[in-house]
Amino acid sequence: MGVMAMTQAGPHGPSAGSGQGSGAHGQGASGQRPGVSQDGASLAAGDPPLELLLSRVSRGDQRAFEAVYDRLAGPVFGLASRVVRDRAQAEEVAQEVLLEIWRTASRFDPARGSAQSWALTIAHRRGVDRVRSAGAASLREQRSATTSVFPPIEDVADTVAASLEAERVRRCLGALTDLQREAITLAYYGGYTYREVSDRLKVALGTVKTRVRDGLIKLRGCLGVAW
Amino acid sequence: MVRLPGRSQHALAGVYALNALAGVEQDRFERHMDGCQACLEEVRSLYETASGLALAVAAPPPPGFRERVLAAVPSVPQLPAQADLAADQAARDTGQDTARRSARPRPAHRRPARKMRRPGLAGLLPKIAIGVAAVATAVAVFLGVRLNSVQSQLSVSKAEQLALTRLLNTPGVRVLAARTKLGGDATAVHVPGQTRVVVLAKDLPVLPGSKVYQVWLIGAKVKGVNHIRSAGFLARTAAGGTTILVASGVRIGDTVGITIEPAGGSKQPTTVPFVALQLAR
Repeated sequence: MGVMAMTQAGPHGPSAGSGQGSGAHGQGASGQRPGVSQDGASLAAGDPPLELLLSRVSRGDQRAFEAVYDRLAGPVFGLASRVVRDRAQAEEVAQEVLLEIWRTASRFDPARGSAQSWALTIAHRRGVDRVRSAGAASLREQRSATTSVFPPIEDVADTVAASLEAERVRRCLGALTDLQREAITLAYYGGYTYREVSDRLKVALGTVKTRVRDGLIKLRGCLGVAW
Repeated sequence: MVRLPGRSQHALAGVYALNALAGVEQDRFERHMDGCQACLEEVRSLYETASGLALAVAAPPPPGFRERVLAAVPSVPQLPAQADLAADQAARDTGQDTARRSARPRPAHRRPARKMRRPGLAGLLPKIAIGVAAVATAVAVFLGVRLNSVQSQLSVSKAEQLALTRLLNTPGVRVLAARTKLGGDATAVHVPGQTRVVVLAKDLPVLPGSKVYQVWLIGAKVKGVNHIRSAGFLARTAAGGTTILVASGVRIGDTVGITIEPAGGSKQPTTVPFVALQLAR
């Protein structure tokens, strides 16, 4: 429910400001992200939606940024760790991302997607940039050696044990074909380009392309992101 | 521009949303998206889906991390909320990067640099950002209020509203606004690289029946000559009204200008435009 509630409430400005919309929003976020709340977040059911917080942040409101931090630090750090596969670098990337959110909050446009999606796309892109940068070549090698092609499902569940969110994602990933799932997890969690995915899975480029898209569309339906 | 068949390009929406396209292919797909609203919307929705994958791997940062990040915040300059729109693109190309540099010691990623050159696609979400988000919202609000309240006395069609809404939702959208020499405001909504522009004017003086407001696309000077094309006319409004024109045929480097012309319009402007909006490239 969490993702759905958030993403659906997100893109539409007016609902973000209304009491009810924000209530549902906050609740969804608080109930299902122990990783975040452990970090000191107290996501009470009335917390303002991220969209609203971001607009405060864009006006230099540091308290609002603290609230944004508390909501996003867990996913941002988790994703960075996952993609970069190196704790120190993941910390660096996560810090960059969070400061980038502070810096560019004014450029977030609710008409173009949810705040969460905006922020996590920044995080993913940063992670991917880091892992693809020239200096990361050796890291990449290590990563290849230590990462089997397809552990992600168990792995995902381990990372945030008992998280409803993770369970839901796992269930949805499980509903994909093997190839769809492998291609998506390699690309997203592994930070590989689709050419690299094609090499690793030994399937044609065009196949990767269509499987990723089909798989994501299926995931979208499963995760309930009605966009 | 795009040589590949549309379908083949379109299928890249998935890998693009996972940031799994690189280099030329990424550039090509972004160009394709400039003219493919369906692709754009699909990528957006798939970004939402991907963010679900991120939530699933959330993990608490190490102790002290929160304090470090929050302590760094005051020293990181923020991008202006809307600021001077006309000057915005300059800030975007330069100030933004320097701000980024000062914010972080290990910046200058290839990707942002590349994106800067093509704000049109500007990587949706993060760069989404790079649109004039706050301004687009402000204009949307302005329209929501104004258009609704004056709609009955205006000839703002659903199609025009839709065109505007679409444009405002396009990553990289630029909104330029200026007070005109005749009073009132003119606004141009445009996505660099696209051929469409929406021109809005409000509070322009009411013209006699023998005159019209004509909108022009004024090309950059080539050998000292501006190539000027008519983009159409602004609909007549009551005093204080808002009028909108959806025009196409924008070329890189164009400036939108408005003049008063005899009813029926002119082939070339007969006076100097009373407002000029230089579209971002």
